[in-house]
Amino acid sequence: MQAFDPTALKGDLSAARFEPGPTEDKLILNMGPQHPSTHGVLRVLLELDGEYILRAEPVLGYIHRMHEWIAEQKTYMQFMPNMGRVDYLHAMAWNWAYAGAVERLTGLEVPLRAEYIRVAVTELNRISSHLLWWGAYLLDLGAFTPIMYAFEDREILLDILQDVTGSRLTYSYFTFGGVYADVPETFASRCLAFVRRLRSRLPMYRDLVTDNVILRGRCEGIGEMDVELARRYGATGPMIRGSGAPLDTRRAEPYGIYGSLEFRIPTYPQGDAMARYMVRMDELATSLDIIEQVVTNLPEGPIAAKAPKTLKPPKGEACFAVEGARGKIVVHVRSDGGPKPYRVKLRAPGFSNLSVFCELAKGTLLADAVSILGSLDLVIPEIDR
Amino acid sequence: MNPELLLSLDHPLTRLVVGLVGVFAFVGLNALVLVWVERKVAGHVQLRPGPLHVGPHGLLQPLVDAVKLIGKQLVTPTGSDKVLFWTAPILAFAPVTVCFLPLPFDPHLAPIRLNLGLVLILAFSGLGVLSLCLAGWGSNSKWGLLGAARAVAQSVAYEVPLLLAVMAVALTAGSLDLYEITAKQGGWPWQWYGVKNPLAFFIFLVCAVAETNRAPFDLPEAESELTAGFHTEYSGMGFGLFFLAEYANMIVVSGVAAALFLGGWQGPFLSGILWFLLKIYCILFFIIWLRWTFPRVRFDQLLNLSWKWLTPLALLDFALAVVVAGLGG
Amino acid sequence: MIPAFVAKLGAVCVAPLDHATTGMTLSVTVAPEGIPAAVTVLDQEGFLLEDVMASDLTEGFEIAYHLARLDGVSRLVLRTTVPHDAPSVPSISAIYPGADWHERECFDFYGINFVGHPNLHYLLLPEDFDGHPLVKAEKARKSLAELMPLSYLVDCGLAQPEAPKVKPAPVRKAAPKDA
Repeated sequence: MQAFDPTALKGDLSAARFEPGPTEDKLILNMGPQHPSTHGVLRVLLELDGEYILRAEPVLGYIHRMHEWIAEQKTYMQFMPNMGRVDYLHAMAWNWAYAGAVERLTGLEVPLRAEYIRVAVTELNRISSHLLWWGAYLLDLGAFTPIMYAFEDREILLDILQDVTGSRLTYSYFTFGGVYADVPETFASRCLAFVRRLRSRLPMYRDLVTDNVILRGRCEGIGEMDVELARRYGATGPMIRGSGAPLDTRRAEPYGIYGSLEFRIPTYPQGDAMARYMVRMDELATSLDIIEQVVTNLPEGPIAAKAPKTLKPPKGEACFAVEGARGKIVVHVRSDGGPKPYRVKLRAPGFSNLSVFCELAKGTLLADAVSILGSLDLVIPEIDR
Repeated sequence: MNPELLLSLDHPLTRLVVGLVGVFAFVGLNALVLVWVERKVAGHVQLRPGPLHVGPHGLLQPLVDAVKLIGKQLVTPTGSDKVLFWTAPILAFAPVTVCFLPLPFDPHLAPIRLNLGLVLILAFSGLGVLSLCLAGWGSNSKWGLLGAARAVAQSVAYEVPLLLAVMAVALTAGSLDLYEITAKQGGWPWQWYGVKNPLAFFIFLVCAVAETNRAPFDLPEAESELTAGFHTEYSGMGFGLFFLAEYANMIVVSGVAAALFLGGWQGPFLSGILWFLLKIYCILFFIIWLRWTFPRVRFDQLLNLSWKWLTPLALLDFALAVVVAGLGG
Repeated sequence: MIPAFVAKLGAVCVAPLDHATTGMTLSVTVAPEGIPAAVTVLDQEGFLLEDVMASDLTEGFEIAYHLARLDGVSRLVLRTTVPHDAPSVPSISAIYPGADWHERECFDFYGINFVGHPNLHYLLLPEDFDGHPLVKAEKARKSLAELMPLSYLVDCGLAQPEAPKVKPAPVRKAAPKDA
């Protein structure tokens, strides 16, 4: 290998380090960071032979904001809004993971009403995340219409969540010991109306889009992976459920009241992009079932446990795992007894999911790489933190 | 030369010049209308109204967009081949206008009767591929290159079944002159070649959508994969010319389809140019509808479809047409 | 209940943890050189690698590998501490390919050198960045005794268990004076 000579640079350091393969007939292409299909500022260096991908290497860091350093400078509650910015599509799950970790450290017990509300808003958020994923995935594949339909459904959802939390996207609704504010009286009825509406729309999505022969041709057999690969890379969520293993944190490590709720874990054995697609579409139905159960049985009571204004958890460490839309989110907090955390580690599911991409993309066509990236459901700010 | 004859429409040269002017006007006006139709159909398919504010129901939107495109800065990328780069849009647009001449709008309004009208159209629409090639290569951009490579392979693949389907109809009609082929059909649907030979009609439509690079076969400009494919580096009127050429091409293939398969200007009553325009717009609406409904096929699936399915079917259809023509004639 | 395979990990200290209060079930501390062997055992047991994180303590950089079972609640933390001036630990990216990026992230933030890593360059920080942001100032560092609860320190032999508090004998009230 030649010594790295920065004066002979063509392109930047990442491109220079991505050496071309043995023959000169290969095309080195930079997909991103500005590209319609990379879902955020992701850059993928590709070595192509015609349209076949020989090597793929993602380059990260274009939206790295050093959240873990910010955590050490702020008090525990001051850091909560950052959780909404890590994965803006499933902000409630990150809220929950962080609040849960701190509650474990402090020994705060969350009242029952707050637990029910937490489940309801997190599942609503999961639906909005999956709808956006679905629309964006089909946009990548060239169908310009489903995203409009998905966003129409999402608007209703966002209106519900706006009345509850005040935000449309980057929620910061959880507090240590419960939730920040109570839900309005119309919450249950609006949720149920939305559940009915989306349930009536899902068959149309299936007939028009999922059963479309062109879509099946673009997704079936693409990006096949098995459970062993997922385990060794740490890929969780629909990645591993689409490969046949029914691993869902809500069932494996129940948190909140998930242990007492009835819901199905969709699993498909094929391991390709179509299986992951079907897992997420079925998860929409699962989330609707959960919301229905939770919202019809909302108990009365306080919405947050009493906690001091500036929380000082006793020394120790705790982590909390939550099933996010993309996979298992784990927030790990180490406390030294002071008002600011000593160390916060954010385990993003997308980080591990994207690392499998290098293996999945080898030998596929460029169009398939786009399809695989879409089936990974990436949100780059979560990966870069 | 008799000057008065020159001024009247009986002189072939005058007819041709007037016809060309008429064609340019038709193409320009229709392209604008088609842009509006596309955006409105797209909007309504996507549950939104489309252009609404500029003019009544957004009718002036394409005009304003054209003015905007003309006003933009023309950027030539560094390292690009300037000659190729700027020849490409002109080469995309110019041949298509010639293709309008043989289209049988109305038997009384023919600017020129060409007994090889069909061949002229097929020949000049083939030049469109060359422009995509020049655009992709001349851009000095890898994305453009990939788009150009895809465009060439796609065009070549879909020319073959297209030609075979057209030949089948020409054989049945016994002529390559679009006016004669139309005249052989009647005003009622059961007299159309589209009903008598539906396989050829289906193959022609699929190939037409592929030849004009419309979704689901719009790989050369696949937005989500190749940024913008062969026209990534074009701005302003350069892009505008490609855009216009795409719509003009669409109108040409719709015109050929209407003439070959839907009876052209003939209608159950009041035959004339209005029927022809109505049929063209029906096919155009169908093509636009396809774009907003389906995702994009993958490149190898595209070529598979053409070489493994459409070409054998088109050959079969052609053989059947030969047999039928032999038995009948 | 400590599972049988733990005996094969070559642990310096094994501390069971309460999942309800910490989210983890077991903490195993090994020496830095023993990491690849321990991770190989866990790979054979079928653990999923969730995370590789590091913290800056006075004793050095504590690297923690979080592994979880595919079925059921079982999060194991494999820890090791490397000194500040020579932060070097063997890489496990050959055993768990997913560790590749996690180790690069630890390198980004702490400057830990993972020996045998195929591609140890900045992952999240810019390529030409200089420094490692999460390394704390000397006086801001805390030690394990200030960061971990007493039960953990006792299990690891770093502290003595608290002597059980003895209630003082009740003081006898003075007998009322005879009237």
